[in-house]
Amino acid sequence: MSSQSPARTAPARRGVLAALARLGWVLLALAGVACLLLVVVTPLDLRAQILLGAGVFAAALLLGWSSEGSVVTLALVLVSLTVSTRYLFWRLTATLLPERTLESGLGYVLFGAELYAYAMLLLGYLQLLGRFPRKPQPLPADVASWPTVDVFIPTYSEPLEVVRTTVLAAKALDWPAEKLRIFLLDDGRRGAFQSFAAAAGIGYIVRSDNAHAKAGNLNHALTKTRGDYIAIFDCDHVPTRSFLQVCMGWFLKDPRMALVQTPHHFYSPDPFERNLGLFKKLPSEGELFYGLIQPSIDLWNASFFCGSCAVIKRAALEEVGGIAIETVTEDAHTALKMHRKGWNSAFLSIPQASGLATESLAAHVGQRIRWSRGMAQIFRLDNPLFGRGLTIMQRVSYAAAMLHFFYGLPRIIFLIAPISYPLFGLHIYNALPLMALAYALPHLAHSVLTNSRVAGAVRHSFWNEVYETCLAFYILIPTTVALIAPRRGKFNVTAKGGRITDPYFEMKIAGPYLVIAALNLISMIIGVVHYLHGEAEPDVLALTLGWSAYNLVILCATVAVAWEQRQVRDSPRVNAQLPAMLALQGGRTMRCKTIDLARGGLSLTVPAGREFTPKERMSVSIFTAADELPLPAEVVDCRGNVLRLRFLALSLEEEAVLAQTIFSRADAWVRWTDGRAHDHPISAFHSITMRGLSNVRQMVRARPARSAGAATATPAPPPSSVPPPAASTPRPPDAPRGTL
Amino acid sequence: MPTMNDDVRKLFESIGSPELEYREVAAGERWQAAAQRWPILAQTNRLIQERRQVQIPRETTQRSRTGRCTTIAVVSLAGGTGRSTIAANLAATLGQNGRAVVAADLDPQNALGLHFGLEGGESFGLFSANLAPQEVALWLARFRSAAAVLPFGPLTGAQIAGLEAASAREPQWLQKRLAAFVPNETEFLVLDTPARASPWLKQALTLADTVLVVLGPDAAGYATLPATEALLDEWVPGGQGRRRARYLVNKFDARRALDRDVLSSLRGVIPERTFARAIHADEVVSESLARRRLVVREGPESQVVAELSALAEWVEVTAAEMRKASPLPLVSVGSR
Ligand SMILES: Nc1ncnc2c1ncn2[C@@H]1O[C@H](COP(=O)(O)OP(=O)(O)OP(=O)(O)O)[C@@H](O)[C@H]1O
Ligand SMILES: [Mg+2]
Repeated sequence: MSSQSPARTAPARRGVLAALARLGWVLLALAGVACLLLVVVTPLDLRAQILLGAGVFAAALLLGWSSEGSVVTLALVLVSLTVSTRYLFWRLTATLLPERTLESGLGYVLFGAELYAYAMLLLGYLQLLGRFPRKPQPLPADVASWPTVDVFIPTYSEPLEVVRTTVLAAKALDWPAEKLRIFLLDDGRRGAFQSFAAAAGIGYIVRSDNAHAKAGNLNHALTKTRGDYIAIFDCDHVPTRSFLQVCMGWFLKDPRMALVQTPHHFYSPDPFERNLGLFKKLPSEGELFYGLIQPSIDLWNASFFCGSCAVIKRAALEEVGGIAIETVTEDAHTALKMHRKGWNSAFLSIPQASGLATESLAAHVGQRIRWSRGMAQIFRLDNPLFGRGLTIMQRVSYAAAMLHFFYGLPRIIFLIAPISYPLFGLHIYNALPLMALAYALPHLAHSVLTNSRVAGAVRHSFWNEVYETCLAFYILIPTTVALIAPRRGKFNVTAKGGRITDPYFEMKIAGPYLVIAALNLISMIIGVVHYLHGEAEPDVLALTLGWSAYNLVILCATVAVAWEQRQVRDSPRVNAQLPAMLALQGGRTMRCKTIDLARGGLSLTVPAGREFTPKERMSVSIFTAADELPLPAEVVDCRGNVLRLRFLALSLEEEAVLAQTIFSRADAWVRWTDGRAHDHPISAFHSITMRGLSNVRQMVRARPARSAGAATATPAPPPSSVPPPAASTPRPPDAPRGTL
Repeated sequence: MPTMNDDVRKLFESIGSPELEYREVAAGERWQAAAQRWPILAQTNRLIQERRQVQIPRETTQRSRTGRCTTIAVVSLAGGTGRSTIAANLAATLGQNGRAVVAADLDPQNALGLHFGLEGGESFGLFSANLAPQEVALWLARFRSAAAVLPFGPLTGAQIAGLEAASAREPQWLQKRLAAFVPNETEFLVLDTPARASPWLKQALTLADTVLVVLGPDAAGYATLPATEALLDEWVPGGQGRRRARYLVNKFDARRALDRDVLSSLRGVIPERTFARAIHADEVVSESLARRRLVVREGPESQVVAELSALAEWVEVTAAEMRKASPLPLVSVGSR
């Protein structure tokens, strides 16, 4: 804002005005912050605090109800932060005892857990400040100028059928043939895979050992190929044909772009969705990360590689020495290294590939153990908060992603804390119960309300608790070990593409939570007994019991996930209404529409009144952007106007057409969320309670045939180390705390 | 390069960027590979592309029309490709869509009427004799709901030779003939034509707003493409013939590799003027004729019927476009 011109010209005056205006804004912001600080630190008596809490909450409700706009969202985030900070400040200054007793020691532990939750809330809000959907960039009109791309499909132990689909769809990627090479990187060194690759006309790369698992596999392939860019798909992630044209524009627009990542979309139910019967009714566990966190941190140039469904620039990858091998989450670590070297990354929130979700709860837990250990390793070995090359927001974003995985201990503390008073008579929370309620309730209520607004489309309220509780016990030790000895431990793999033939109860996973639930239950009973004998302070007891009851609800829902349901199909069906045609024996045709499609067969709506006999043969054409190729099939059955067909032996060409029909359509996944209910905290809590209750009923009725092993799950390879489905905004323990 | 397909359009709309561009690279490569697999296809494509280099000056001669209706001539230089079937059922489909349609048979085989349930023995015909207007009106009234058909008429060889001589002398011969038969309120006039080049085929091509060229899914059909375009260029002044030509593959069976490649190649080499889907081979078509019924009645749930309605829609849209784009002042002859 320099006005050197001697005559005070109009632009110069305008410049001064602008500077003044800016100064005004800064002053206003400072004044605002000062006000908020005042709100945070001013102590109030019980009555005033209740009035303040209720008043602010009512105002927030009204404000939220009045508009969907982002200014209001920002205001609500600010309010939530202020209220939570006020709670934490009060907690710090008014409820902690300086003495060195067991009681006060436990009090500090609980406070520590709350502090962690508060920090994650803060980080979550901070990350979400800059949401904007990044759009694909146009490619140059001259196709001859497009860069060369190598597609890597790493595999280790997955079944061939899973890999075939991915390879055949990758071959249909809409990119000039002479600029596209596809490679199957087979760490299993299997003959059948080699001959399939030869038949499909793609490259096949093997190495003599399996050092560094998937990262080593990719790095080895890097030395054998020459494309300018590398697209990586885990062997179950099937790309749409438009994947490259959607992704590649950003590289041409920004010469420092190193990575374009797209979401991991799953067309089969994960263990939560399958075992609780929630498939497609609720956002999947990963949607918070891919639908909200990645797009948000993308604004800070901090979106990171998730191991699959991404394109990386070879030059950038070579500059950091290839895929990182120091940790078991090589993907996030590689991205971190590239960011440190000043490369950029982009996240496009457009599902352009789809894969199989983990097939069993045990596999899910195993996968998350790896992620959490890997992130903890990076935190120790290459901490994003320190070292060169990162912007502040990149540091914050990476740190948040990593710290997220340390929720194990805090969550277990919250689950166990309320038993301390009824069972042991310990007061680990030194405040009057009503006062604690008056401070804590607004803090919890605002965070639920604000999270539902910000993230309700990708994660329903309270489900975070269930997802995290389920893993808390299992990630606790790996993360701790990784913090102490980051170089220990090896890569485990996520099983995919198998099936569960008989339902069973996964005792291995549920065990610890059954114990914690039992503790809470016993504590409640004993508390009531104490009360009946007049031995307990009623208000403290009431709070403890309420807290335990909340824990029980979450624990019951968590344990319910351990009832592994049958997974009937080898290849999950994908819904798609596509025009199709039957060529019947005798030479007639019939116009129809598909309902769903799978590798083995499909169902169609046919005109009513036509009879079909089982085993009747025909060929079926499904019309997509590709050229028509009829597939031989036979009738399974026909009910009403729904005809189900099974495919007969398909040639490789026919198999490719089928794979492309199901998976290659550019719009295959755009209507996925259709028909899903909106989040509402109360109904979400109700639904969790109901799942928990029906679980209790099931536990009482059935003698669970304990153990896994009933699963004929196929082992799997070094899968994508997908990053944290980070709970962007993990909340503090959701229960009132009294003087316990 | 083929234009952006529906799936990509839907994707781009879903992310709020319908303006994004997409290149159907793979589809472009597919049709060239298809043509390379069969020498005749590759060679024919070369001839078509060479013809395209020949610039024909746009001419401003006045073109006349029959009434105010849109005329569609269904032609092919090879016999038996399904001209009559397409003409009859296209007319019927347009009629079902609520249009006033007349199908006229210009082929001495006099077979078009059979599709509409005529017996072939009727003495009524476009070319049989001079008829009084009341007689024509009475005839057309037979087809209340569906499209009306004007059969060629049962003619002897000598009579046909006479007609040929007459039409060779008088360039407006066919037009006058039609004007006497086609009522004013007609919206679509569909002409079934003979495979043989003749003066009145030339007049039909000149008359038509859309020339629908029917091809069999085979080498013989494909190889007629350059000759067809040459004929259109020669007979219809000002390059209008080529511009008005639309191509359609009939009796398509995707289980056969050659069928697939013929369609793919045709769509690739003449993308904007080829009906993308083809009409599938279906027994219901020949069975309908054997029952003297229209396919749209005989097998409403067949693929062919769905394709015929897509074809009718395509024809309506292109005809409308062509009328808009036509720089020629239209001379309406009208019915008398
Ligand atoms: N889509 C189709 N599927 C099956 N058969 C068909 C199809 N189209 C036409 N046909 C059959 O092909 C034969 C020839 O059809 P059509 O008479 O319509 O052809 P055309 O070109 O008019 O023949 P011509 O050159 O003799 O006039 C008929 O038996 C007809 O039923
Ligand atoms: Mg005919």
